[in-house]
Amino acid sequence: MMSDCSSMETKPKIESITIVSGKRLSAVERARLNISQEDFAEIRIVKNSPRRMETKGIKKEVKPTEGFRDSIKRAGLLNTSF
Amino acid sequence: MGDDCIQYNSNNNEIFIIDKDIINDFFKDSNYEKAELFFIYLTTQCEHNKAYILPYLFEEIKSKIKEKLGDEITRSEIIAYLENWIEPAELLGEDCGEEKHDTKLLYKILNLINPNKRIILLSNSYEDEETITNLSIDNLQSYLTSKKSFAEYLKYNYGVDDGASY
Repeated sequence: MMSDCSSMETKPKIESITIVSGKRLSAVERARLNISQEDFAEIRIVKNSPRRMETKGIKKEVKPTEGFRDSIKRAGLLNTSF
Repeated sequence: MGDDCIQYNSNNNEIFIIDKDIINDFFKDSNYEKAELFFIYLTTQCEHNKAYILPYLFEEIKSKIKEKLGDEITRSEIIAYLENWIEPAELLGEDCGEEKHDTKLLYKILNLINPNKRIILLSNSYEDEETITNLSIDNLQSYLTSKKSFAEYLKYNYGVDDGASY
């Protein structure tokens, strides 16, 4: 079996996260993500990942900041003071 | 794209400068709602939907995140989220490393290159500065919810009147 040595040496890294209005996406992409023009989409560029770009829909009832807050909680960074 | 400018990100008049205050608030376990409200405002209302920060302040924040988190994917995710809302400013080589001086410098630079925009410094540390349009964190909520389109946005999408739950 072929082992993927390169992926072991180079771990995935999120290069960018961009949150955009659904209106900025094409109708095809909105349909794929099951979002409307009033919703949002989160676009992630991931380095060293087979899926270089990941997109997910954010329904308008969901605050666009929720992913960030969840990420802070998961990382145990709540109440970190800079 | 034309419609996009009407309902979303239609505020093309404001550019924000921030310091660590608003970021510290967003990372709090409680009472983070004002900071959250600001980030939602940037995303949904502002054409310039990133706030500027002094580059070395941003580096300090990133360093602390890297120091606290060993896992690359987790720390890069937090930093990537921050970069969705925050942009390190270009100070044209005139900065001296003193935060108040450099903040005033950034304010002047942004005013110079954006003569038709309103540059707003969101911070608790500059309330006595008469030459700067300063918005304190205490006044942030009332400022944002006084914007009719944003108040309507909050009510329509989250069912809150005038940011009442914030």
